[in-house]
Amino acid sequence: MPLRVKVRSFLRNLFLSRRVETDLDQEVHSHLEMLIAENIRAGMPPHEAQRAARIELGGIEQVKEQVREEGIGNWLHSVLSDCRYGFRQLRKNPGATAVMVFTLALAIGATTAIFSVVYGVLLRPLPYTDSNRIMAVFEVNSKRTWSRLADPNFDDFRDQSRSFQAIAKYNDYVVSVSGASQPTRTSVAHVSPDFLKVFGIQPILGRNFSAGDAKKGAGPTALVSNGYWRQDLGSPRDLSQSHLKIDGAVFSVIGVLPAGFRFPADVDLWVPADLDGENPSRTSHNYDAVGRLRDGVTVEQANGDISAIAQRIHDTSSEQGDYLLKDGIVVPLQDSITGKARPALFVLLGAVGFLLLVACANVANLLLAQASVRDRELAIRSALGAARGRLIRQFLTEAFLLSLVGGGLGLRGASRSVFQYLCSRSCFPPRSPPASERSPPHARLPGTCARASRKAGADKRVRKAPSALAGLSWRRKSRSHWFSWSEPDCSGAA
Amino acid sequence: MSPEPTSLLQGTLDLLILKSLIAGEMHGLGISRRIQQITGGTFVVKPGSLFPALHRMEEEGWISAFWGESENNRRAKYYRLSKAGLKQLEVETKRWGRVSWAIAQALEAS
Repeated sequence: MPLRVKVRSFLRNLFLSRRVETDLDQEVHSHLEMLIAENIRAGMPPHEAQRAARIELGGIEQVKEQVREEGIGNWLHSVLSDCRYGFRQLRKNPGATAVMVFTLALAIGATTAIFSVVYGVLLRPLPYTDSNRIMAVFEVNSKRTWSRLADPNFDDFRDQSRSFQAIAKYNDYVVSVSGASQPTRTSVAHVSPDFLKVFGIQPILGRNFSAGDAKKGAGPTALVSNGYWRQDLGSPRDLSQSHLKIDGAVFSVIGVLPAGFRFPADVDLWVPADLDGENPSRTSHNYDAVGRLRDGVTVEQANGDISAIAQRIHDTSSEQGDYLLKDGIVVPLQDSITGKARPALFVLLGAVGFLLLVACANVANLLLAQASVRDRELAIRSALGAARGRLIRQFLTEAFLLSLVGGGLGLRGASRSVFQYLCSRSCFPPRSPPASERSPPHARLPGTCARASRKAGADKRVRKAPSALAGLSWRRKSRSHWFSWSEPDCSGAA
Repeated sequence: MSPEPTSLLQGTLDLLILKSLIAGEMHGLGISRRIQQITGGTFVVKPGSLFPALHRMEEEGWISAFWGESENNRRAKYYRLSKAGLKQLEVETKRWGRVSWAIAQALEAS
């Protein structure tokens, strides 16, 4: 109950300040009158009674001011007036203000841009259940080069290793697909049956691939992404009539994946790999591989396991040469995608951190220069009774206003370009929640300055990321994972 | 002869106001006079301390205020003890008991 009373008093002091003031005024005056009446009753002449009462009261305005100081929420009034003065002060020096705002906007924008990349790419986990247990598996040849897996080698890894709950191979191509609303060039992944098990997901409609679907000569089947099902197939509940002609062959659609799942990046259709039979060569590196570690198995143990199998293959294979695997390696899927970009990203982050420091120093210098001109104002204010803390707060408020405006300005330009960017691309892979795919990011921008600036940065990030950073990825695939990975973050971050 | 008025000790004003309101609702002057009376004239509360304290205690929810008619038909702001205020009075009474006991002990020590 006392909490409710406090909140009520706070709101009353804030919004009904005029009424509170009149109330206080009346109370003090009625007190004074009662004192006078008391004195008259005690036998004083009216004039004397009034004088004595005023002496006892000690000054109407002083009493009122003492009461005001005790009021809950009165600090808010002083903060507001600080803001008002601060704003005036900034408006008085438009040139300096513009320079400071621009400097801050630039530095905060750059820093948050890089931080957003670092966060989206390195820090934020992949959006799958226990995503830290999902590993990528590679062959390592005698020159210590990592490569994708050849079919028989993958089969050996799958059959002989004890470290994985599920392990699957995949690759993807862009092919012609017809049979849906209109013919398209669509990204199709060829996957082995355990693919979804690795990511811990199930179709939301229909069924997953069975072992039979992946057998050589089985009737072609396909899983579709949620977005494809909705937009190109028209969301049918009954999939039995849905057939797609993929690269000349007719596939039956058997299931729909949950919204947001798109791995590898941008894929809309998943079909079983090797319907025409596997490639028997141990040096044709056609597939990437992902596996989910068994509970309790560490990455090191899995590495030892895969290494041993790889060495066995190396020792017994007839296909000796530079392209035959000599070893195998298991790395967390996330690391495999970020790869060598990691140190580079941290260096960039450090660099923009310094940029921010430089900007802060510059702004501080400008503020100092301004403050030296304001000696007179400060002298007058302290002569009128402003406490030291109050004056300091005034300067802090001004600095805060500056950074608020700086961050806000960056946001304005950024939100528009993020919107355009999102409109120009409609697909987002592994980590994007579906709702964020097509909604402009500023629709849910948080209000704080820091976050605003982060968002502002997000824009620059998505523009720079593909060009500047894609090259850092050690994967040689033509499509950059950066592109797909950093993007959802700009829409769904925070 | 009443003793020389003493300035209030830190923290005792709330206790005295709460205690004086036990007798019933009262306006500011009434509370001030009541305190003077129950302390035998030792404590005189100036409006400059009384009103800030009253308003603070009202915001804390210990007392509630309303406008009423004074004994000689003047409009006056009255204060009344709330449930939370009653509880607060107990708390403050206990604390004061401890403090005064401790001071007495300290003074008796040789």
